[in-house]
Amino acid sequence: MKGLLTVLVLYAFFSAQAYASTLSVSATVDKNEATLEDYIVLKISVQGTRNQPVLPSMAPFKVESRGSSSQVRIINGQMSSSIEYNYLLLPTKPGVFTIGPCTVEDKGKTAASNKITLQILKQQQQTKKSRLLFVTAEVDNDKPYLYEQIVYILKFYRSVKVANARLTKMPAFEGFITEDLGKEKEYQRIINGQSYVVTEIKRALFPAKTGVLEITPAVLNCDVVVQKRRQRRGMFGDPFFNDSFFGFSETKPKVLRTEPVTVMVASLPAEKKPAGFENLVGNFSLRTNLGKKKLEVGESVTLTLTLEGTGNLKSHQTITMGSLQNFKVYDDKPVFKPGIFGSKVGGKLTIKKALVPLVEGSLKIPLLTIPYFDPDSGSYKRATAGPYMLSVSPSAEKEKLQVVTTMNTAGSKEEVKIIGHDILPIHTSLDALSPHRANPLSWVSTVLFVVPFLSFMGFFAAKRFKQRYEQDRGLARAQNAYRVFKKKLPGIKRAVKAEDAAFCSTGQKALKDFIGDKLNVAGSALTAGELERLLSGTAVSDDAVRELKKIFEFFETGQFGFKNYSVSEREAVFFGLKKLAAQLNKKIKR
Amino acid sequence: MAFLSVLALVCGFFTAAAEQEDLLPDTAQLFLEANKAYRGAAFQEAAVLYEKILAAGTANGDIFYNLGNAYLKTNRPGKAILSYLQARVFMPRDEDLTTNLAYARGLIRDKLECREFVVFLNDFCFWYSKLNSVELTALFLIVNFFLWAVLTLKLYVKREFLTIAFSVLLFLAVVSGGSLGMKIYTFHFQYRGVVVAEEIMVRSGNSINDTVLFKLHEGTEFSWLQEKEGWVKLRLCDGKRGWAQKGVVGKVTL
Repeated sequence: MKGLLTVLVLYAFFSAQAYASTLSVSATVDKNEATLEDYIVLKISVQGTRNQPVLPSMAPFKVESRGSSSQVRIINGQMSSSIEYNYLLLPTKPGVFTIGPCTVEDKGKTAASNKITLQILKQQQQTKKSRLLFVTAEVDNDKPYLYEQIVYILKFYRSVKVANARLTKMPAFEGFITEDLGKEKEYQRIINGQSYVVTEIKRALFPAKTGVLEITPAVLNCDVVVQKRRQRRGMFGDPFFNDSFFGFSETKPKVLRTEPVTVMVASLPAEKKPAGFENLVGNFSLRTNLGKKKLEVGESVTLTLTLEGTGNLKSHQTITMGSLQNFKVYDDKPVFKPGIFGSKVGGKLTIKKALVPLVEGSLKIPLLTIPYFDPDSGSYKRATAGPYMLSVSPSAEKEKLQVVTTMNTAGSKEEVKIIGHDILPIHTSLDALSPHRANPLSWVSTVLFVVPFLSFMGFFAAKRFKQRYEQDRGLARAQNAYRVFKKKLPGIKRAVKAEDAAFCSTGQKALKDFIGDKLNVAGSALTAGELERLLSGTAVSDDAVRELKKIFEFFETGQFGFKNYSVSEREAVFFGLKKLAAQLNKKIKR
Repeated sequence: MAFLSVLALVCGFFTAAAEQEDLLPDTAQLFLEANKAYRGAAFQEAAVLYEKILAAGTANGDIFYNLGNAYLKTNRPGKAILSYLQARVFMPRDEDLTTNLAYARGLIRDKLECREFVVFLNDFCFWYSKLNSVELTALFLIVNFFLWAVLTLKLYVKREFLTIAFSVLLFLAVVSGGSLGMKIYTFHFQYRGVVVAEEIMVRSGNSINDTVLFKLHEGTEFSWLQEKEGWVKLRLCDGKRGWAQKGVVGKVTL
């Protein structure tokens, strides 16, 4: 325990010493030349501080942090310490790039690292034979017609063990309508004597515009498992132990890209384009089914149309049928069931129509035709079904209807018949040039909205005040108290220079009336003690009460000749009384 | 109704007056030329001239109506319906406009069965569709004024008829205020749109790679829900939703 403590103390001491050394930063890479498939390991070593380095802009690379490690070295008694920050650089384009300098700051000082030049090559010039893993992208037909289905195939070949394989970027497929084509497949293939495990992903594409369309590259990231170099052999040379689990192998990250795929989309031939063609491309067949062939007028029969095949049927979930004379037609909601036939997508579209014959006799449902373009033969074709004949007998209710009709039409007026359709003329008045307003929110409307309400509130408040005033005499006394007192002040002021008795009686009466009115009590019989008692329960301060009591006593003694006061004393009392009355008026509210 | 229009004019006076002063002198000339072109069957030219008047800032129901006529005559029902809908914001009771809009709607290919609340508002609450927003504001302000006036009178005069009048006015204030609130909400948050291309694909997302859900044809109206990166999210009155490219649809803007 003691030894461990010593080690910790020494470590702390040496650490502090180590970081006290000169501020510096250096950058190294594991290789200066790499391909787009490789990662580059960048190590930034910082000395003299624990602050993190600031990385320069590295636009041609995707940067991933891989943590940091600390090192302490003692050489010839001199100790140095550094922190090494590790990064993985993933090149995104080929070329020669200079990265750096990295900088680090500490206590106002800045240190910069060396610059590093990196050369990024497109791809290793290797044949498929020599490559251990690669990805390819292709389409089954690079010259399709507009809306013709093609299949995009992405294959991942590998003859080494890989882990964490994932597609980090799928192509954008701009200009195509895409559909899934089942789950990915895995199988083995031998190319030039080398065995590969192949994972295959397929997407069905329907070009939605003509011209040259480019499918951007897909990017796949994975970790390749490689064996660590070891000198010793023994039981650990067994392949069983050749697994990263036992620490005898390691993984190296790898990035694989496909080449872009170019597709030349041809427009559909304009010649012999059938009427009613609605960009349906593929191979289809039409089946129909009629519920019954004998029925009465007004009775309904269901006609089921089923269009089935491969192609862009999902985008065309309608079947246009020509107008049926002598029938009323009610459409049901179409039902589409997608399907995959080999490597082609398609499905089955079922539409049900309820037909109600309007007349009796032998009625014909004509040949139903759906035109489509067959890319295999490069020609327009028709999916057809029918025709059908329906035997319609008269309705049992027909006689009744006819009787009613005859009775109503006798002597009836003729309806106005519309024999043409057109719109009504333009408006030519110059009033059309006056701008109209559409937004009702304006300050005028806001004011007009608020003013009646505010007026009402004013009248309401005035009425309430008047009512309260009339009902409460005490309130009236209290409200008027100070006004009445102020009216008496000039008389008191005049009495200042008169005799004590005149000044004191006038002043005392004004004070008693003011207090009496304010507190709604009989003021004439107030004594100094009562005054103190009444005011002690109010918001008036104790000092003010004491002052008021003194003035009251001054008036008492001066009025009955117990004591004579000078003019200056009387003046001081007058101003004190004036000030205290104003204060009381503010403090005592009703 | 005429009284309402006068009050609506008063409400709008303070802002409209300033706009009228700025009216360019050649706007009238453009208007006469556009009318002349229309009468001479040069409908395309007439449409361009009416658009110029609108671009100059003269927003008026009659101009939109004439523009709709010009588009309809050039066989563009989508743009015509868009213009008529804009005209209807200003003059909802104009019978010529109602007739021509119905005619244009009769030309469109898509058949939709609408169940929207707006349809109920238009049919049952006739004042909602028959009054424009400024007229509805005027109605509400009148009712509001009398409501508070009666309430003020009730403070001093106790009469039975004042209580009845107050109840009636309160009901009218709630109805007209509610309708106005709905109109303002629609004005600011619920936009309408119209398909202006011959045929458009409505997709499941705002990308050309997304699945085509259904097709719409020129003149079909929809609710304009959202705009994102050159695409518009739309909803049909029967509830179908999807995304269409912005260039092929028009918005009823004010």
